[in-house]
Amino acid sequence: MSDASLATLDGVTLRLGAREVLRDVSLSFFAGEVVALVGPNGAGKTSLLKLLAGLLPPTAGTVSIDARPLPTFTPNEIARRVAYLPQARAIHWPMTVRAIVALGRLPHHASGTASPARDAEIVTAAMAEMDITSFADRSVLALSGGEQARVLMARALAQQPRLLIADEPTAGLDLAHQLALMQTLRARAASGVTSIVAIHDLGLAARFAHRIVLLADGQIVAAGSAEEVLTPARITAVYGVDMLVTSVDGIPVFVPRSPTHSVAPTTPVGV
Amino acid sequence: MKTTAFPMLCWLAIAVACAFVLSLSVGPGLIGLSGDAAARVLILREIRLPRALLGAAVGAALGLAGAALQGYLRNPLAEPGVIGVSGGAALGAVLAIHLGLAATLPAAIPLAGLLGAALATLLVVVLAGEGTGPVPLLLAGVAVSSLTSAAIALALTISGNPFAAAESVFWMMGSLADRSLPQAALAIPVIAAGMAMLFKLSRTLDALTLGEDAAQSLGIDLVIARRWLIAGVALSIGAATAVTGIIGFVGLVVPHLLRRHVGHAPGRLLLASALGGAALLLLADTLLRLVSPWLDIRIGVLTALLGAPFFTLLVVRMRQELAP
Repeated sequence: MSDASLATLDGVTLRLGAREVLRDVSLSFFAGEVVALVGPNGAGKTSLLKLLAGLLPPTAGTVSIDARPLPTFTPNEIARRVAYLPQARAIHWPMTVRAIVALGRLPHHASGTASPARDAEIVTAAMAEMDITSFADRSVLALSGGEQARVLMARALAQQPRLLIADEPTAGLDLAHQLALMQTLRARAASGVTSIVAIHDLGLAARFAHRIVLLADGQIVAAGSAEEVLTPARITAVYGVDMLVTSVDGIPVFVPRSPTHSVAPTTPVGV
Repeated sequence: MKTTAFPMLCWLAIAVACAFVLSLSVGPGLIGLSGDAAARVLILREIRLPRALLGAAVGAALGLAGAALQGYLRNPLAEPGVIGVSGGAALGAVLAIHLGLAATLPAAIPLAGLLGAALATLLVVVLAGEGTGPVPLLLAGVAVSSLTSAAIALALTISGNPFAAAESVFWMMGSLADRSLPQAALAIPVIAAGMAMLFKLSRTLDALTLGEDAAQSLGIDLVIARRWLIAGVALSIGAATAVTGIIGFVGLVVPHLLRRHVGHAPGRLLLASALGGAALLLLADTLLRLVSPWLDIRIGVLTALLGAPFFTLLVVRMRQELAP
């Protein structure tokens, strides 16, 4: 991690219709960190990610990349810096897995900074990282939902962004691939790529993210390390769930016990 | 991938060239090597050349616009008329016939058709708004199409002139016959300009495979892309319909036929569909002259006659592929 701020939200408010989705949010993201965005449904996670990706203009405040406000970039300039993986996994035509992953190279084609050989290399590497090489030439619509999710993640990796924004990238993945995906983000972080992921699994977030940002009702409740942010009291306050927070062999474990403050017996939990 | 699509594009280009030559050499007035040279030149230049040129241009426009709209709307059932352009062109032409303009000025029908297409497009753009998704555009297109067909029906019903009504109906069925070189020269540059705009959408359509948010995050400006799409369809299909009437099924079937051969990539489908559309329309028009040089069967009727069963076959095959 370096001190240079890669992306910044400065006093950002977002109103969609009558609803204030985000209220006066200020946040900085640094090169080479994995940030987990957590919070209950409707907290504003997706909106925050879309603002960062330049897909929504803020009602008030500024979103900047490299200390430059987003509106001063062309869409292609943003696309060469920022990859965005939407929560909705849309694939409309039965193209091959390889062709879908290669779509990540589009922004580099449009700017004329790509060579076919290098593109093929990058696409192959991204497919290997997401463990989809074995079905590279199959139709993407013939795959399972989790496999499609990995294809789309590989597409985002092939874009070679400095900022990777992913909305629930682990949802629908089997356990092994959830871990592999988070490890990929950590590996990319080591080479300077920043990842911001919305995620519901607090265990994965605490284990793999450098920093956790807890969002509720369009505001930042807390931001910092997992130990600082994900305390049982705060989780109860934000999620309305009585949570068992512990760690086994240094791995953080979060187990929801009951949806309210009721006193449940503290039985040992198998991990 | 790219390496497998290239030979197919070559074959399609060869098919277009062959169909073009065939279209020039077939007709009721047989052009032998012997005979009057002046008559040969006259038949070729005044009758067959404009017909072949228009066949190629209009077929290419229909195939391309169909592929572009299917890609943009991400709906395999979209066809060139879906955003109301051809309805507007048809209404313009029918009004020109009924108001007697066509009798005084030969170019009145295509000009009125172009004007109708432009007005229909304007109405669709105003109705759908800027920067909205494909659904408002589709709905606006359906609304304008219904409006134009209602207006055409009204014009036919209240017309006191049965000849004008018959001429309108015939015109709407679409024909490449008896078009003059000046008419071709009027339409083809406009068609070409619209097609150039649609070809620019290749990357946009590929990116839209992943949905609008992902496409935008891949650096696509969707507002600008939509302007190119609407302008491109309006010019190419507006001009094509204004000169030849409504020719159905080509824009729907050709992208379907070729999609699997370009790996389903909507961007690469554009050029393939333009070539395929040109080849198909030229061949259909030639077939028409061979089969029934005396009966005046309209090309739009033939494409529908051939297209409908073919499309049925595609649906059956698609159903088999999708069956569990």
